[in-house]
Amino acid sequence: MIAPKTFSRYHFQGQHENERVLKIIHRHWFNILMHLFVILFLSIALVGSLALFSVSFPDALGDQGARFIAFLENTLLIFLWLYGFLVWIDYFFDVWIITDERIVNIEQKGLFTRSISELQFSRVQDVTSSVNGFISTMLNFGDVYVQTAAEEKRFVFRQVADPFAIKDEIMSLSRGALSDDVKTVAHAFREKTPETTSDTL
Amino acid sequence: MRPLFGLLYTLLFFSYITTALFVVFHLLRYSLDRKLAVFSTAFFLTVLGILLFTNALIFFSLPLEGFFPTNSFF
Repeated sequence: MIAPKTFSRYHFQGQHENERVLKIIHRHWFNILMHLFVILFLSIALVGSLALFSVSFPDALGDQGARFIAFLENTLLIFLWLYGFLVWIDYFFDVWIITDERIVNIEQKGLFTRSISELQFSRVQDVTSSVNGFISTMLNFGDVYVQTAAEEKRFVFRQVADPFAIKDEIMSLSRGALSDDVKTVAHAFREKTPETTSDTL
Repeated sequence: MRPLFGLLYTLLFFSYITTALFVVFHLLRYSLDRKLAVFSTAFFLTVLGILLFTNALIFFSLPLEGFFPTNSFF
């Protein structure tokens, strides 16, 4: 039997004391694959061309030329390595965290733009998920839109894996939060008017 | 010619280091999982270290005067 994935080792900035992380959601892997494809292609082309050239024309460049080409290739590899990690940061730190209290959206754009927003489950009014296109349908990824009670902009999970399951999870957590709110209000009401209730009963 | 190339190379080298520092800062500061943060930083720095070391080694072995000979005619 496969044990359910636990997120107890995950911690984020601003996490409340007893807040439990239920799910960490990143964009679907296909999203980063498109970005990394360019890097992979260039790396293979670079290494391949160097190997092919030195095998095909061993005496064409001489020692100086070979060293110069090796320097260029190495410099390009450094650029690709740094660029690859910049893409990785943009992908991996763009994250949606579902806890037992709220949804936290951390949006990372490049190295210098980072925004964090949150939404309490009790404020969730409506959740919509959508999968558009052939590849998205085949790989099951798409967007989830969370509409709040206030007239604010929608909370959007972009290009996430299994959007329908995420929608169901948010809806069930939201229903739980609403019933908790009702219980709290009822409890407060009972505490406030004990005589009235006992008289009527 | 060599001092000019040396200066340009130093600038380029420092730009690599600066970018790498920003990457490491993000990996360590914003990772949700501490183990993954340490692992990815170690992996990033190891490969980058090898690449930078070989890059500097190749650069200092380049015969720069041979590529751009000074014209003694003028």
